Amino acid sequence: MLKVIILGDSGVGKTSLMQQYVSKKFSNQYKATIGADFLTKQDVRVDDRNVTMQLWDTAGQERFQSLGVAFYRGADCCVLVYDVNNAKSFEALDSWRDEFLIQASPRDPESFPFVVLGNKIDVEESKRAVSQKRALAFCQAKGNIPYFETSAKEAINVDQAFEVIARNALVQEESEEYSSDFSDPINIHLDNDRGGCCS
Amino acid sequence: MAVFSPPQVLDDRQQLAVTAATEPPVLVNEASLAVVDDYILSQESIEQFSRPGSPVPLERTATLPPPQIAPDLVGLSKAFPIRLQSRATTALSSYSAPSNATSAGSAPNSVASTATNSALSTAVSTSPASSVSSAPTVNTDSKKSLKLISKTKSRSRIPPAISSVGSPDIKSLLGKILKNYDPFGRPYTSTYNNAFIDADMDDDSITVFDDYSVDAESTGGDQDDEDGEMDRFLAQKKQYFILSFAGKPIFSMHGSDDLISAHMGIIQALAAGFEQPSEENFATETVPDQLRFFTAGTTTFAVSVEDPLILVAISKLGETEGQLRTQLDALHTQLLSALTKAQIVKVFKGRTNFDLRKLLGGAETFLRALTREMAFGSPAILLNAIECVRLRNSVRDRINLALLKGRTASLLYGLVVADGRLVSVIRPKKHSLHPPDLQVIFSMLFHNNTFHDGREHWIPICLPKFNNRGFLHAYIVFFRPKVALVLISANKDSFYELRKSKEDILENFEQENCFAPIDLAVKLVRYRTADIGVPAIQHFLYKSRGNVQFTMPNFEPHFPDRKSQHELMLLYRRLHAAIHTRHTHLKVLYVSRGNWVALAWATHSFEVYCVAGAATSKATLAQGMDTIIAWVKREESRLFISNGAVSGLSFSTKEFFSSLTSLAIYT
Amino acid sequence: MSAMDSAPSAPKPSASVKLVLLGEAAVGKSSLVLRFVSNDFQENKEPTIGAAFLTQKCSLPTRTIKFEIWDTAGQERFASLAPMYYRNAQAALVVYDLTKPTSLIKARHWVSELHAQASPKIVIALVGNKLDLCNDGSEGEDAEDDRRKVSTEEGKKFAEEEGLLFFETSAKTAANVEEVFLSIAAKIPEELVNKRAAGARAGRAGAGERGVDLEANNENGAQGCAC
Repeated sequence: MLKVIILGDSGVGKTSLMQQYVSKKFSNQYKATIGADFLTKQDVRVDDRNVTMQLWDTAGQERFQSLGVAFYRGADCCVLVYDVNNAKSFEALDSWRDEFLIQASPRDPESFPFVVLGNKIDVEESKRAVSQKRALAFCQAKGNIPYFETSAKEAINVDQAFEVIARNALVQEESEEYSSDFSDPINIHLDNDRGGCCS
Repeated sequence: MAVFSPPQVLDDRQQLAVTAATEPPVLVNEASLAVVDDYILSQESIEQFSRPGSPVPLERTATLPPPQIAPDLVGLSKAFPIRLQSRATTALSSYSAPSNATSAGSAPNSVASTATNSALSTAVSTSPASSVSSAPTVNTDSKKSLKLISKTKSRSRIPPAISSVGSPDIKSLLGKILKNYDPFGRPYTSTYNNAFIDADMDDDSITVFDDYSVDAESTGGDQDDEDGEMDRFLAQKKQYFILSFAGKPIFSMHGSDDLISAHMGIIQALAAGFEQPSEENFATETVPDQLRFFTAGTTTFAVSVEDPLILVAISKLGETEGQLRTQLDALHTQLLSALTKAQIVKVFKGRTNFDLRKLLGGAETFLRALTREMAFGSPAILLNAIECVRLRNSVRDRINLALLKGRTASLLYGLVVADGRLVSVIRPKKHSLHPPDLQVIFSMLFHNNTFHDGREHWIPICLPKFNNRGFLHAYIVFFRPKVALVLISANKDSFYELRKSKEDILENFEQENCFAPIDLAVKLVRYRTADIGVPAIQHFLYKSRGNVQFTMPNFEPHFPDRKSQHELMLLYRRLHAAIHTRHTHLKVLYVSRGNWVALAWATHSFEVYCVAGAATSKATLAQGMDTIIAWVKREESRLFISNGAVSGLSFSTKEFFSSLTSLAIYT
Repeated sequence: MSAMDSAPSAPKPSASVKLVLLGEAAVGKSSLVLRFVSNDFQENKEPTIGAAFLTQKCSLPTRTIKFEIWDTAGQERFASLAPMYYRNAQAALVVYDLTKPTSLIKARHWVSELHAQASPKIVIALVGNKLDLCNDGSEGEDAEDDRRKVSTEEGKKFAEEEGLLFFETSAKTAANVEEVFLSIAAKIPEELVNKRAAGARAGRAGAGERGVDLEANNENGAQGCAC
């Protein structure tokens, strides 16, 4: 199970992207009130493995800001979305990223997988406010973040983007084989049972 | 505002500023209910809710104003009182509607306050969350309900109705969860004559669980069908979740991943909304808070935060917080028995994204079996006690002796368990056994087939109440189809030694003629009420508080099948809930419902619940209870593992068995 | 091979062979044991917890072998308990699932671990199970029914490289199951067996060796091993 956080200014199309990817319509029921919406995509294939993705579409509002720690906790990947026709939403990416790293405090911030999506490329070229070059420069500067230009509406590049998201999330999630540790025996002479009633 | 008006569109700041302390009383009327309906409840829930206990259609107004865009949760909570409780805060949204309002508005609100009222009434025909309180003002009533469900020292300040951080969207939560946990589109035609169960689930909007494995597994044959049907039915009524702090699923009783992972995310968000992270210094709130419990209509949600896990129990059977919390504790104990607390904490340290399901390794089978057992109704878990096999003292002594003679140096505990009931146990003087630990063992042994193959098993097991940091190792063998010998050691290399011990023990059993009484005990199962002189009583539960053990007669003949047994367990749960409501002085409860009458009595030393046919007079019922109590007292040394005298030692003094005969304790 | 061939007059030497089954979860270890010991098969067996212990006698021309079998849980959380079971084992079955390539990877790890940590003389058999799910070149069979994902060649090659016995079995149909145990029995060096048996007769403490038949629920009258 991979936990993927979707961040970005409101209006950039996070919800449509998710809906396009999961092929499911859903209404924003929770975001306004608990600060996040959830979608699940099962049977995502990465190499020869099948994984499930738990997608968290979080609200941008201030009043949910303090929940960031809880929302971002244990995330395997963070997707930053902006609207290519809205410069402000692009400029916000940096603070979204910072905020995420601060709140989530992953073990190794340098290697935490981000993916940037420039959405709404279906809108006519003249409206475009952020050039691909500029976006790529940003992504490179921030540690070679993979970058995709997408259109949720026209279903362009969405699956490809999420394939990379899934792959990178899996790497992050992949733990070494973990076996139980039986080497610490209980010393029944020292370790007394915990007292107290149980009823 | 005397009348609730359709919710205003409040901006964020306004919503935050509104607190319960400043809310004036509200009246609930049809219009507001209709709005509530659209917001929150499916029709059947409204119907359930309007008169909990007997579904009666609520007259809906034909034309409804469309819901406003921004849900006014505070307003909603007024119209449809939702009781939330967190650890640090006292009750929230404790509005009660005046009696002239539709009962829908008042019923769930009065959960706490009416427990007292209803308990004293002679006919409790509904769940405790029922009777309409007479029209009080908000302030009086809210204080009353605040007190009743307060967990912490009282605070003079009434906290916000909904926490200002991460306001939970009850509408969505309930709407979806209530709808989604009705797995099958077909109507469930039930012969349940039970006012607490909503028997008609033919809402077309019900989604189907596609991977509901119980259905897939159940093969033909009446017994299987009955079990499968029971499981499907219970799936509509109960759900359990275990998730990590990150919101990743660890376990759910039923449901496919795509459904539950969203719900788990919501629960995590709700729980997170209440907690105050310790690494951040929010100077104003000094005590971290935890969401513990909330109700909506007849659905109760209990949340237990056991760092780094979150456990949730959801029930549409009208169970109380206490009952659900006991179940969550059992579930948590079962999980710990496979992993230990130390390991769970360790594995999540620095790896909050860990998927604990990788580590469960077979334990989910036990978790699932336990949740099924609890959903169906387990007297042991309800009473938090252990059942023993009724044996003559001399027989039990012989068995104890056989165990003691056969024990080896590495042995910590030795148990003989027959069909979920304890036959005999030996233990070292300074170590006790705790009921939750035993319940875990019994559940693993008897509600699963894993160990029933006659092979000798060597398993690592943690007994969390004994020591949750490490593993013990248990040698398990069923030397009869339903009887197991369990030898527990702290030494993981002691298999062969314990194996030899088993052989010696069985040889001793042979010599001491222990097999015959054990076999007979298994064959007879328990005793019949007619045998003890109370034929009018159809069934009873007797818990000896000091011993932390209980006894009961056979279900047959009055409760011969799973359905009737389930109904019986529901009745016991109701009685138990009424008796255990905090802050009541309730001692005796008489209930008349459906086909039965029941009497419940709790003292400091025992709890008794008796059930008889509806035609039974109160006098007969009371007489029956007296007879049972006297009989138990006479039979005490046979029914309970103790030294025969009424035990004055409570569990809190650590002595689970107040004292065994000297033979059964060794240094 | 047949008990009937041996002279009935002199009792055959009998000795114990400790055998451990290792392998990924759900490859069929318990099913193989059930087939060998009870000649039975059950679908949807619940996963083994910890380990299960059973014994089974096998009659060879010159001696009787009593297998002491440790059927271990393949779940990852029990992995670190494995040394307890393969320590002092004379034989090991490393089992993989013919329809799951990852289980062969796991099998390789087990073989490495055994070579590194177990007795140097341990006899190891590599067993590819679930042959019944593979339609190997049967005439007229629909190729789609073949769920084989690990070729015989691959398994054989691995076995040859590591000096392992190699079998492909089906616990469901009983194909080849007995052969595995018989071959292992045959390959246990005489002196090893005798030493162990001698040790047992000397009544080594804690070994649980009694040379006496265990009670009925652990043996099935040696019917499962029709040798």
